[in-house]
Amino acid sequence: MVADALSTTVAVALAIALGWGLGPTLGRWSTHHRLARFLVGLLTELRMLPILVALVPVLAARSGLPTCAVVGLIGGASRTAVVARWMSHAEPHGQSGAESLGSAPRHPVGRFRLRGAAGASMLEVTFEVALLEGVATFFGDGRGAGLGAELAQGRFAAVIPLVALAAASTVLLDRSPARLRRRAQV
Amino acid sequence: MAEAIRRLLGLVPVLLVGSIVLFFLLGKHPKVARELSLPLFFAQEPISASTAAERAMRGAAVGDSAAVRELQALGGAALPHVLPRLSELPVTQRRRIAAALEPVAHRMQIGGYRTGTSLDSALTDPSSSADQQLLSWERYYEDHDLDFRPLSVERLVKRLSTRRSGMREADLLAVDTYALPHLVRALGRVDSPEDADRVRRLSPVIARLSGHSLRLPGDLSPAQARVVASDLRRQFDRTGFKFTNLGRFEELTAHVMQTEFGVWWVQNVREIRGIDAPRVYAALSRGFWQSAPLLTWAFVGALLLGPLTAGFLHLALLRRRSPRVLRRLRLGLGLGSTLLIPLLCLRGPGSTVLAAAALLLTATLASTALLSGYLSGKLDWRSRATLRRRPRTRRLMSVASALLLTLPTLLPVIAGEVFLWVACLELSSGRDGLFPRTMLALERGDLHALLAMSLLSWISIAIVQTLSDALIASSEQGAHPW
Repeated sequence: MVADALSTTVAVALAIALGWGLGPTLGRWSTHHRLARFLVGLLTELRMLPILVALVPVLAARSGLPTCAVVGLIGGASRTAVVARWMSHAEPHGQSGAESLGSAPRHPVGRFRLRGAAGASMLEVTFEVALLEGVATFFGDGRGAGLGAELAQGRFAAVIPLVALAAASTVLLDRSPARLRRRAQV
Repeated sequence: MAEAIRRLLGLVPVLLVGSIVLFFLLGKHPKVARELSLPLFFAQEPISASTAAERAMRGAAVGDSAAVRELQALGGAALPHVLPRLSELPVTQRRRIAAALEPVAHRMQIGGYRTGTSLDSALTDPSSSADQQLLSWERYYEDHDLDFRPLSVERLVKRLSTRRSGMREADLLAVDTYALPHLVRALGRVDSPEDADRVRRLSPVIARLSGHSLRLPGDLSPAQARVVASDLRRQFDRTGFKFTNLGRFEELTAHVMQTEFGVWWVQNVREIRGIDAPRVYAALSRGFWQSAPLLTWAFVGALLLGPLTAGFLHLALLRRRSPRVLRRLRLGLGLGSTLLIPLLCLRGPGSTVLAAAALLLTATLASTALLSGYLSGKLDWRSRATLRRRPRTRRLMSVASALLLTLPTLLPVIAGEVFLWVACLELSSGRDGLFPRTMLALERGDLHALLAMSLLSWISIAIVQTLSDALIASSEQGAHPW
């Protein structure tokens, strides 16, 4: 169970880091570059395909990466798409304030404002990772890694660390850097 | 709108490339690969009746037992390629081939077909010597080579498909599996009782020639006949090319058509055109309609109740100067939605009403958390001060328009989350629906079902996303679509 909890934690951390690191950049690029826009669109379309779980064992076998890393990468790609979509579409105008309820995402204050929506859209990351782990066991040889795989095999005690992980990631994602928060209040 | 049309048209090549990539990825999985009998994308040496017969003949000539079995399975389809070339082989090898073809002579009932002539009786007489059998085969082909022509077999099949008679079946037995491709083609589209009668006449012959067992119900309805015809065609798609003579162009296309990808395309096209009875798509459609009530309630929560709650909360808390209350509220909503999901995963309610209520609550909480995160990011203290000074109606309009503008962005994002929640609930409660069927397909390694699911969900999300983007673009240009 400890190993599974660690595996899921690594996968969730990787997914959050990827989504939070790449999502905003990709979202901003997609407002200017057609290729980035296409990529965001494609990732949004692909993120919930059942085929993704087929990728887990295939990628793990071919790349030599551990399963948790592959699950984290796939979950991260999915979250990158969500955050990028918010960044590119939620703020279509360059204005700010109540007139248009828009702000410039290039500005740090604007970025802070967008953290709300983008951060909230990351809340499901733990369950997406758990679902990937769980469903991948159906497509593998019955064995799997992570709390999702434990749940899929009927070991319901795995739900306790999963809830703790989900709550911890929710609290973590809700926190904003104090520097940006202060600037937004000015 | 032009951009939306351009994107929807651009979806076609993307899906084509995507289906190849998906096919490759799934085909490489050991669980799926075990079920595949053909190469994935490219058949290096396509098989036709002539190549299969040639290979089996060469093997049987040297006494290879597998080749003997293959030659016997090929039956009549191999005869036009084997019998004219017997003279090229040494006598001992010819004898072996004649002996290998003996079960074929039994199946073709050649003795019964021309009873009383010494010419054919040797073929079905087990006591006849190998030399006699060889001589009889050579003479048989001299007599019947005109029967092994597409036009004459086409005519025989047409006669059998219009009216049944023992003599017509016997005529077809005389050419054995050579008639198989023509018989399968003659099954055609099955819509009316006349079509069902045609299937009733042709299908037992096809089943006997291809070595399958077939039981037809006494009163074959058009729907049942369609299923029978589709099953026979699907079986023939995988094994039929060794009975078929290929032309130049067909030889070229066979490199792709005799692959798993080619068979998948052909079967999909037939299913979409309504020639074959729906199999994969029918199962998916049933699963979708079983999941539809839950999906609907989840979407109602996410797209209607969530925005309404978020808007109401922000208007109610507008007078609070400190953003701390909003932040705490947002955190509470986030925690509430994330803690509800494990309950769905752990034990989903069996009753539809309870399941719908649980999903409605989860979706509303998650959507409220997301949108209040968006609104609290939007409404800094300056914006909130501006809004506070406005009359109540304008205040309401400002928040409502902000939320409405967000819906097109939210829709493709939340669709993924809705699928996640419904999947958790269906899997934990043991309900039948789209997701348990997906699990079943995953467990079985059913390539066709998985591809159909993937492509359908891809297309639906792509259409939703394109339309959402069109709405966003039109709202940016000032033409509010609402």
